[in-house]
Amino acid sequence: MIEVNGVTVAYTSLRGLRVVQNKALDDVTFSVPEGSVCGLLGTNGAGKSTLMRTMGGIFRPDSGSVSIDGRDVWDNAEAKNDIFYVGDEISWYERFTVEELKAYGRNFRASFSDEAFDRMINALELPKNQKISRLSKGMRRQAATILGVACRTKYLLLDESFDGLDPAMRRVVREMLIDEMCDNGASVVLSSHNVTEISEACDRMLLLHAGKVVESGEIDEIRYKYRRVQLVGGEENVTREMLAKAGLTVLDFAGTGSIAQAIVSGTEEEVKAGIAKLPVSLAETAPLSLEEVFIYVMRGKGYGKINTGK
Amino acid sequence: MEKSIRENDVHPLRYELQAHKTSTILVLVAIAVAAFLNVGSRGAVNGDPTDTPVFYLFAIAIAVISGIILTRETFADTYQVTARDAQYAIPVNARTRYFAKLASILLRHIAAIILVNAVFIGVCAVLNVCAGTEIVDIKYSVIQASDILGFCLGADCLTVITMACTGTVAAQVIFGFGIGSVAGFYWIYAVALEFVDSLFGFEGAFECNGLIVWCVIAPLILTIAGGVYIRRDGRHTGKFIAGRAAWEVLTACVILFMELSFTLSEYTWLVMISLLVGFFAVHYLLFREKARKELPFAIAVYITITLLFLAFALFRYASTRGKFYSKDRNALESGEYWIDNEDWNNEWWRNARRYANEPDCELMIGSRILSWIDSRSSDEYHITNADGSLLNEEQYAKLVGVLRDFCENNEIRKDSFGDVLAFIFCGADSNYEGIELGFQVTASFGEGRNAHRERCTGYILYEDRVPDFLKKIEDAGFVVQRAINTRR
Repeated sequence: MIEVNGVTVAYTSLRGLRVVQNKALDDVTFSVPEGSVCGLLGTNGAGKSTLMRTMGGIFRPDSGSVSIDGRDVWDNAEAKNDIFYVGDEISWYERFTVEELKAYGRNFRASFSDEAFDRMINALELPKNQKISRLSKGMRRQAATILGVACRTKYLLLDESFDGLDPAMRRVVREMLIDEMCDNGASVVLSSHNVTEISEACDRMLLLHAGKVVESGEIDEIRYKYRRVQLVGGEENVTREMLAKAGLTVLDFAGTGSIAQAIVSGTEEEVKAGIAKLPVSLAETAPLSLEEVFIYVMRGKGYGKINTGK
Repeated sequence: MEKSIRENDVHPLRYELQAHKTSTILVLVAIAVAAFLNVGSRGAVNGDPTDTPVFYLFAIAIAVISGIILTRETFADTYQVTARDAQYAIPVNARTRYFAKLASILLRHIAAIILVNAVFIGVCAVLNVCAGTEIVDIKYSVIQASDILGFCLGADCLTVITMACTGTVAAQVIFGFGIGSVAGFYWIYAVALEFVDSLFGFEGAFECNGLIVWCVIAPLILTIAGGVYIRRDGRHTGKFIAGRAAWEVLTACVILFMELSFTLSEYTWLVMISLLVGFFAVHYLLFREKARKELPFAIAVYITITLLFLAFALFRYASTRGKFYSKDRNALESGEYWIDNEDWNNEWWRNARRYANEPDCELMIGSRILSWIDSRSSDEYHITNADGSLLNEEQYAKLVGVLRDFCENNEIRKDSFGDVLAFIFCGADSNYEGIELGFQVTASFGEGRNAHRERCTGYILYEDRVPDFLKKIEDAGFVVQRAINTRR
């Protein structure tokens, strides 16, 4: 299990003679159980890549700890042996040919599987003797991901690894990845901006905003924590204040005349109990998709609201 | 079955060798070219030695630069994000990674230089035997190769510590070349030479002082660099981890050193402005995104350094005024400006300066320092009265007259006369009637005391005049005693 406990990571910079600290991660706590596929979602600059690198033993946390099966990951060869990090920038590997990449992987991981590597390379029809720098961006990503999968570590960290792939290839690589990981019983942490991808591939997720955890847990649990409520008013129009008075936490509200639609947080029972207190003639509730959760939760944090300045 | 970390024995060195295949090949080619130039830099035609020093200089430049490029590539994780991600993610700890990198540099650069030079020199030795004559000066090539090795070792060490501390390519280049060439191969060398000399106490027993010096310094530098490197985490890539203040101080030291290296003359303002521009260029390259904010700070540092230099110069001028040089050579020779002063800690030095310098009233602050360093690493000849007492003013004038007459009567080249004066008044590095004196004439700094002596002696012996010189001096009633490093 990967355990992240109260991790804070800050970037320091000099402004004149002053040292300025910008927190990229602020007291982040979550865990990735064995055998799970965990998605890392977040806004731009939320700290996803920083978190991935901290989990991969590339960054040392300023406070808190990251441990893998009880072993601190920072500068610990034994712990790192169980983890493979595929970064969002992979140009380092471009000096190799695909075949040399295999030798590179074999050099560092006793668990490296030549057979799996070859099988995946053949499946994706990547040219073996061509320098990776000469491949397309998508092919480079595929090669790096295949390297990670073939290393057969217990944990695989993929930082925006599907970016640059076309939708068809995205699906192929993802399915291949899931198959391989399932066969080995490995865990994957996958960061992406693509919410659909996360919802399809992952069973758990972590939602980050401005370095802080907004949501974490199983995807279905998170989805059912938010609901869309459609209301038709009775004698008076439904307002946001009325919903708040009824004990509902409103993330978003839109009303036209007697018809209103709101996004509220809470379980189905909690939401229904709140609605019962409202003077409405008709009420319907439905769970949100993960994408909607992302959008409305972030909007609730003040992110993504359009401000045209008018 | 899951394998343990011991079973999963990773090979960071193999990884380093594998990851830098192209640069390894280029470096090997460069080293081969350097070795070729080295053996070709001195040969013999009909038994006479023929030097092509430019070959040797090229050999040094190629070997050193290729090493710096290789080191830069090897420590790419200190400045390149993608290299960092790949290298930090592999299952080895920072210490192992550091040693793997050092081993990789040692193998691909230092060991390669030894091997390639050995091969080239070996081939030349065989050619000498086959030809029955000395086509290539083998001994000279070995000494030069050891010097090249010393330079490379020094440059590699300085590059490693620079990259570990600063994590920037610009800093590496400037620091490596700046500190490496100016301070590294001068100040550190001079101090270390003293250290090594006092430690081993050899005098003329071994020719390769430069290499020994760097062999002593290198572990120290690499230990410090290792301590800093191991402290780095991924966030430090491309950034200073240690010694931003030290960097500023060292930059300031380089500027001060450069200022001190020049005399106060009508060109001083040009030097000052050049240094100012250079200093800002360094700051711009290092702190590009903050260059505007750093500007007042940089100006303050520069002004402080320059004021320090001026204060130092004025102090030296005030404390030694009257003993340096005079516009009026007659006044100098009449002894009017001669004031005995304990600050001038050596009679020989003082007198060599007095007679050997162009009397143009320049304040030779910089030359004074450089000459001091040179003088620490060279032989000297004491010329005294028969009873061992030092010469007085008239006797010095007589001595110089004897030398001048001898040179003129024997049609010795003017620059040889400069060598002769340097040979006797060792460490004198200025002008005598427009003739450049000092070791700069015949030997470059950095070759070691013994190389200096050998070169200088060899040059004069080539003219086949030294015994005559010394005899002439003795005929004039002086006693010549050879001494080594008496100026301590």
